[in-house]
Order: sequence, then C-alpha cells, then structure tokens
Amino acid sequence: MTALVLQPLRRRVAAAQDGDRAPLARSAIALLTVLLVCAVLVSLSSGALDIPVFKVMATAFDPQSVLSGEDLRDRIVFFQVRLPRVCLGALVGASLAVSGAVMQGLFRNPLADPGIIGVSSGAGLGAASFIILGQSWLAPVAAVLGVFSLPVSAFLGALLVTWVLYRIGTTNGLSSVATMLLAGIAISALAMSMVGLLIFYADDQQLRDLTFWNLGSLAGASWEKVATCAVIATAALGVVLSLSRGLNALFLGEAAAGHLGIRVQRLKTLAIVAVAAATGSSVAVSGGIGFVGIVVPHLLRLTIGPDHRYLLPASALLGAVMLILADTVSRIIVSPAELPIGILTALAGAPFFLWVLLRRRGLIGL
Amino acid sequence: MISTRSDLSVGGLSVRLSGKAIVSDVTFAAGPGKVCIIVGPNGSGKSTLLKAVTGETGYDGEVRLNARPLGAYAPKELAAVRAVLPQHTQLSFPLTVKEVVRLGLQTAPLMPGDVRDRIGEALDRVDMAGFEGRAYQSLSGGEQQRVQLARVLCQVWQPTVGDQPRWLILDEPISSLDIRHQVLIMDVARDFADRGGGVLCVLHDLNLTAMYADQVLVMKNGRLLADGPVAEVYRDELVSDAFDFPLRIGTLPVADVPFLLPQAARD
Repeated sequence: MTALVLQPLRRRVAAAQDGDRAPLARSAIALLTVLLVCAVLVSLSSGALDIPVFKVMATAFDPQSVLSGEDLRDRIVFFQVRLPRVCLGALVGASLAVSGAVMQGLFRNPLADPGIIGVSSGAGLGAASFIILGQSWLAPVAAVLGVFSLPVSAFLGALLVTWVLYRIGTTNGLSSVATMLLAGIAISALAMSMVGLLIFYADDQQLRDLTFWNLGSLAGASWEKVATCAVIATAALGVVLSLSRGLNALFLGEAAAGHLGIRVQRLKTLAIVAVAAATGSSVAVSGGIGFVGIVVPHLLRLTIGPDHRYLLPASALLGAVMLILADTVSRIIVSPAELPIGILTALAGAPFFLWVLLRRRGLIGL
Repeated sequence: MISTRSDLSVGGLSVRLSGKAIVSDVTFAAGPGKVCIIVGPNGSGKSTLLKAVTGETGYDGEVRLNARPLGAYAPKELAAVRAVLPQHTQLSFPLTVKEVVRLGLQTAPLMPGDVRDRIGEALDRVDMAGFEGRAYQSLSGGEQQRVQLARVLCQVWQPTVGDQPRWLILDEPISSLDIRHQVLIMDVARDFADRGGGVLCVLHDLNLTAMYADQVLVMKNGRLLADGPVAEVYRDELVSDAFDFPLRIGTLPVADVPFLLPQAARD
C-alpha cells in the first residue's frame, strides 16, 4: 500500500517543488474523478425519502410488473427526480467553474468571472423578461417555445450581452481587456435596472417566481433541462479545452502570446462565445448560482498551478463535485423544505472572494 | 529594395499611432550572423520600429523576414523563425520559473524527457541554473528578465533552420541587469549570431553597443539617422546630433573599442 500510493505521491510532490506541477495535476484530476463518483452516490442516496440506491440500480432493467409498490416508488423518485437533479448539478457546476477559469485566463485577472463582465446579468434579464412578460407581451414566444421559453430567453440574454460587450470593447479587430471589464460593469448595471423596471409590471406570483429563480436552485431539474444543458455545455467545454495552450500563452500578455504563434483574436472570440453559451445555459436551467466560477479555479491554482491543460478539466470536475454537494446540503438542511442553492454558494463564496481581494490588495494596489 | 534570401529587410516603413507619425520611412536590412543594434534617444521610435518588425503593430511599407513578407507567415510559422523578448513581462498568474521557460517550447514541442534538460540548459545560459522551482514573481526584475530570455531562447534554440537563419528580436534585454549580467546576456546574443542566427536588438547603453554591434541603427524623431558599422556611426557630431547632447567618442588604447563618457559634456 505504501509503495503503491505514498512513493509515487512523494515523487510528484518532489517534481512540484522542482517547478513541474504537471504530475501533481494529473493525480489531482484522477482524485477529483473519484470524488465526483462519491459525491454523485452521496447525493443520490440523500433526501426526504430513504432510497436504497444500489438496489434501485441493480433492478433498473427489471420489468415494472415484478416490482413491489415501494420499489416502484423508489424507482420513480430515483430516475425522475434525483438522477436528473444530480446530472444537472454536475453540468451546471462544471460549466460555471470552467467559464470562470477561462474568463480569468482571458482577462488575465483572477477576479474575472462571467458574473462580473455582465454575462450572467444578461441571462438574468432574459429570464426575468420571460417570467414577467411571458403571459402578456411575450405570449406568442411562449406559445412557440413552450417549456423551453425560460432557458431560451436566458440564453439569448447572455449571448446579446456578450455580443454588445464585444462590439464595445473591440476596435480594429483587437479587444481591450480594460474596456471590456468596465463595459461589463455598465452593462450589468443596465441589466439590473431593467429587471428593476420589469418588477413594476410584475404581480405577486411573478415576483415570487422571479425571486426564487434569482436565488438559484436545481429543484426544477428534468431530463429536458439536462439534455439542453448537456448539449451546450459539452460543446462549450470541448471548445475551451482545445484553447488551453493559447490560454497558457496569454499568461505572458497578448503581444507575447502572439509572438509565441497564437492567433490571439481567434482565441478571444472562441473563448468568449463558448463562455457565453456555457453560462447562458447554466443560468437558464438553474438561476443565479454565484461564486462557483471564482472559488473553484482559485482553489485549484493554489494546488496544481495555473496550467490550463490541467486547470480546465480539474475545474470542471471540482465545480461538479462542489455543486452536487451544495445541492445535497440545501436539500437536507431544512428538510422537507429546500434552501435555494444560490444562498449556500454565496454564503461560502462571497467571503472567499473578499479574502482573495484582500490578499491581492497589497500586490496590485486595488 | 534588395532583399536576399536570409535577411530581415525593412523598406519604407512608417507607423502612425492615433494620427501621429511615430516611425517614418525607415529602410534597412539586417543580415544573419550579425548583431544589429538600434540606438536613439527616448521617444525616437525604437520600440515602435521593433513592434512593426515583429508584426505586433500595423504599419505601412514592407517588412520581409528571410525574403518572405511578414504578412505571408501564419502565426505559427512566424513563431518558428523568430522569437521576441519584450521590454517588460508581467505574469497574470503565479507560475514557477520552469513553467515560464516551458512556454517557449510550445511552438516546437520536444520529447518529454528532453524538456527538462533543455530548460535546464537554457537557464544555465542566462546564469539562472537551479532556479526551476522558484516562483517567478519572487524573483528580482533582473532575474525575471533573464528567465524571459531563457524562454525566448527555447523558442529558437537552433540559430538556423535549413539554410535560413532564425531571429532573436530583443527590446532592451539588459535594462535592469547588473554589469556582469549585461555582458553575459550580450554574449548570449553574440553567440546566437556567431552560430548563424540573426539578432535585432534595442539598447540604451552606447558602450555595450560599441562592444557588440556589427551594425548600428541610429533613430531620431522616428527617422533613421544613420546605419552602419560602429566605426562609421560613432562620430562625435553624429552621436551628439542624435541625442541633442554634446558627446565625444574616445578609444581605449588596448582594445581599440570606442567609448564615450557623459563627463565630456562638462568641459
């Protein structure tokens, strides 16, 4: 056992001290994969109803007629409620964490986040527009899109903001990071004030829906949502993983990355579109779950270093683990009621964000 | 403008930034096997000229690298024939020295076993051997500059590819170094040229320029004031005119290398 685990671990730590954190990062990814499996199992077996997870999985392919009433109930809760919820949690957590990591790499700032440049606010405005105007002005849209109306409007909001941001921040084919960050702040404020205006039109039920959607929750998980999110998130994750080397070169700045043979403008365009898609689809299905994109990449950089070839897959895994666990806690802590998961992530994430800010204050004169 | 197969040639180059001409009508050719040094007062357009040559900024006129126009290179091809050392490099995230140098190997990846040796050798050349595990941000300015040079050397490790030279483009590579390391780094550039590569470098130190340059370009107000070997360019009136400052060239009897001292302005 010692020879199998401890000695390779010692070698990896030694390599990390020698300046090469790649072996350590590969081990971390393996470890996180194991953690994800554990988190999924824990989440599947916790909740108001006590379900024998392994029994349900073992009898998954048995015909309904041989199951007792209790087994049938367990099967329905397992496959129609818990499993889609865990899948959705994993997808949203992975999307948010990777979006955060990519944005930070792109803006060369560990505090950048889709929430900060306004992508999440845009998605929020899209969703709020639908929640409040869905039965009046936007009724024809609702008639066409049906259950997908809310996800699609949030997604469109995110894309619209990203596009506007990109047009404002880009001159002569080159985008300035400072302009984009400041424009993001302005656009966030604009989106928020428009949500505020919409609230004047809202009735009590709509206000309630909006508030709960805004706090963030995975409670409405369904296989349709999982499918929508899975398609968009997988495509976006695939794109950003192929950009790892380019994002690494950006450590040195845009000009130096260009000198290393990176097509910087193409890199930025692809990364921004991918992040908008991943963030838009996550916000659409789960509402405002904040700070995952800040906390996860930051914790990983402290241990395995900032190399995006390892940071991005590790962020996806840790983001999934953290959101699944946060969702599990939010389900059982006030059982049988549920705490919106956004409250939990903000409770943990906001102080963390301040801590990062304070640690950096001396370094960059914030 | 004549351009041989293995030159870095610049013809009628002008750069305008927000309506103002920073570089006007600069024409020169730098050859392989030579160290070409650009000097001139602050704001004379040296760095902008370098930025045009590396393709970092837009320009009017022509820049050819090994007879091929700069625009005809794909970014990856360009990265394989020339490496650029910027004046300052600020990292966005905490990397180790080894990780910084490894970025220079992205364009032409080595076998995993060779990476470690190559990085070690590159650090050794810039007198930073054994610093692999140190955090880049914990180093002094001069040490950081030398680590960056090690990264740039990794990108163009062999000074030639086939019968074509590779190019080292250095923007004030020794600005924050002590005198021993100034000489050591210029020796690295000299060695790169001696082995068939080309070096284009901006320097402020006129004495080191005299020691190392095969060709000196003097810039003033965005124009090329002089272009030639040290012996031709280092004349009292020319240098004094370039810097708007009375300077007198002296020569050490031993080495026959010209030097100049700011004290000469006092008499």
